[in-house]
Amino acid sequence: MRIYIKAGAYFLVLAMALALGVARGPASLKAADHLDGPGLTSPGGDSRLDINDVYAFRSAANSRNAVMIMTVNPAAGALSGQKGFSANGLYQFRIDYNGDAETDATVTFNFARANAKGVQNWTVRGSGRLSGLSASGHTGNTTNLPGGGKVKAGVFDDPFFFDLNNFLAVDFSCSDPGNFFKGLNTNAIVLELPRTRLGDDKVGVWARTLLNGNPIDRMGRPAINTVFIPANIFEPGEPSRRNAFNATHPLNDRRKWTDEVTDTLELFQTPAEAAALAKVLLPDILTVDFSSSAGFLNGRRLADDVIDAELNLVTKGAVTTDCVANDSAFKSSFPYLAPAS
Amino acid sequence: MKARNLILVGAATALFLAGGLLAPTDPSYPDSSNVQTVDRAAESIPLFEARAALDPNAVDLTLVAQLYERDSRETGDLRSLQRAEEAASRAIGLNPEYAPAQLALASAYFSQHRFSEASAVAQEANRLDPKLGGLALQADVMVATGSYEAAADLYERAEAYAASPGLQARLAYLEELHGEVDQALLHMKLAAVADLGAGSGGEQAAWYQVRLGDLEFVRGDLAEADRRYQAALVIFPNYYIALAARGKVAAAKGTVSAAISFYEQAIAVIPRPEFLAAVGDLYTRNGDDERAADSFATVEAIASLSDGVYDRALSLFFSDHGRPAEALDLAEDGLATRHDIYAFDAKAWALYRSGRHQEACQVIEPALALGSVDPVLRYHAGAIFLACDQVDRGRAELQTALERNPEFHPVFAGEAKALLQGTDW
Repeated sequence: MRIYIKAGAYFLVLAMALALGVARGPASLKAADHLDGPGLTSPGGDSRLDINDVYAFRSAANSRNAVMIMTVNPAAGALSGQKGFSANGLYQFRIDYNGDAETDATVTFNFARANAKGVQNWTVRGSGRLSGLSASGHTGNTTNLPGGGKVKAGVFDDPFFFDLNNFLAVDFSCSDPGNFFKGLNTNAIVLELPRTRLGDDKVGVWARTLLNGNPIDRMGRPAINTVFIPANIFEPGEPSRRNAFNATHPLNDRRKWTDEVTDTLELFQTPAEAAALAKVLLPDILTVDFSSSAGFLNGRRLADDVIDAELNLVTKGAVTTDCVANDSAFKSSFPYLAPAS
Repeated sequence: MKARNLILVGAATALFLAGGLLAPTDPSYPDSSNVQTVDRAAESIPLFEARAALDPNAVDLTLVAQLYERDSRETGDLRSLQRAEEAASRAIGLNPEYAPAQLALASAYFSQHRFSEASAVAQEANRLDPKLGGLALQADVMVATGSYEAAADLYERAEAYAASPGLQARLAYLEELHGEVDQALLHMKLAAVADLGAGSGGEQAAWYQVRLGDLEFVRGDLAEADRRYQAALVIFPNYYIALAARGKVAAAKGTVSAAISFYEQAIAVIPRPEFLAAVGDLYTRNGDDERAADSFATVEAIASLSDGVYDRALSLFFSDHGRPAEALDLAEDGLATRHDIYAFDAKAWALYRSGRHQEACQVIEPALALGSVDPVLRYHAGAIFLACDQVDRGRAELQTALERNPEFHPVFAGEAKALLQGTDW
């Protein structure tokens, strides 16, 4: 969850406030610093471990392959000054094969410190049903995986698109739309595997980052945490629950977070509708059938307009679009993402 | 506060058992495994300025403001604060409800010592988003203006929203102001450990090392203070604050040439008035009156360009360089807006240098109210009380000044000893 929306983000809640006629304050980006002390950044404040988005889709270039992409580090560290991938953290794709939210396979990347040219060596290891996966490479290069598949980690154009400014200004008139993320980069790990190697086509995918063994961020579907989990900004004294959400295993999502999700959904939906929808949204795992080329809600392709889809879904059609569409020149083949600007 | 201290004591015990607080394995020291490379803000400013120029919008302008604020920390350049203020103001013009823009503006005001404006805007940021940091910034303003108890309460409330190393560091500073130096040191170490553990690097991580060094200096452990400052320079090369701090340590050790060299390196990065004043004193001590005069002349020139940010430093400089009337004017102006202990100290010292000893004795009292053991403050108090014929109190203050660090200042430490000897019978 990118910091633009994460740190105080309540994102669609603002749209809901608009629809309800109770416009509230907009989102925040990050705490500021000042000369007499360092910034009030959270202990999990390493932007390199901040997951922006997760994508999972069948390769258009080779329908026998499944693609998983994790983007991290908003603006590729241009804001925080923290470039590349964390050398102390871990980056994981977690895969559930049978819909029970348990992790049946994990693909874990770790990165070494950057050399003088900014290049980082990485290693990847699979466990569980992907336990044979093992390789190493370095950022910026494509590495073929023994046994099939390939990996590329590095800096790319950020594929996300969203009219952040008009959203913050509560302006859905589409009079002057603009994709805030146009021209911004992101770090990303692109993993392509033969579907046969993955084993099953119907899986659930989520990404997790860890630091010193502690969970820092996680994400499956777009913006579940930022939309539904309260930062409690209107309730002074109530701490934000977003870090708690990030630390929760999806296995426990329904038990721990259903009430929060339905609370938000009930702004637009009946309790019964909200409860039904919450069961779809939780656990926060991106379900995908790699035998299909369809996109969101079947996995997520790079050009899928997930903001429009979620605005529609959550507001029950009250707000249908942020008026921007993809403007990245995605590649038709690996690594699919557009080059960094 | 009590519950927090219990937690911290437990954590400190773990820290001690893990390697000893003063041992080389102290986890509050950065090493290759826990400190991260962080690019300077200046590298990213053009990108976001270009975006804001192409499409003026609140988010990009706020990012520009935040980057300039960070740049001002990294370079010491006050002009970056003006640019931060300008960008944040434009962002607010486009979207007044955007809390990060309000906080960026409040922060820019604060760093420029425009405290009432900072407080008002921080309140607005806090109204829009209480978890953003406006509360802590309001508390920072309170500390800067002397409302210490209210500040402590606000820090506690801010901590309830989001505990962070930055807040721990602020609470440690309050402890230092209250004379609880060992406690402050312990808490700063824990803050540094947490900061490093969160993947910190660059100026931010270096700042923690400097603060630790400052506390070690007050405690009189010059070697450990210097190690901290060196660690800061490894993380963030040419960090002007750490260079000047190394100069302070070298001066305390009596290695004047080395001290001058460190100060000159700091001045080459940013000619802050306090660096120029310190190096001028060292040139004087070396008998190089010409260079001393050059440095002193530059103090005033720089301070005059700084819109009041350095007025307090300038007041103390005037007091110590034969211009007490000007010192008093500045100190009184400062007290009109700030009532922190150093505001009273500056005025009391200016009164003392003006020969108005009885008034100085009254004005220094609030400066001592918290129990700070800042050796320069205690030296001022000692000299002032002696001048008022409060000999016992004056001697006690001078002894306090010299107790932990007998070489706390290249000029004042010697004067403190001389005053003590002069009253010895």
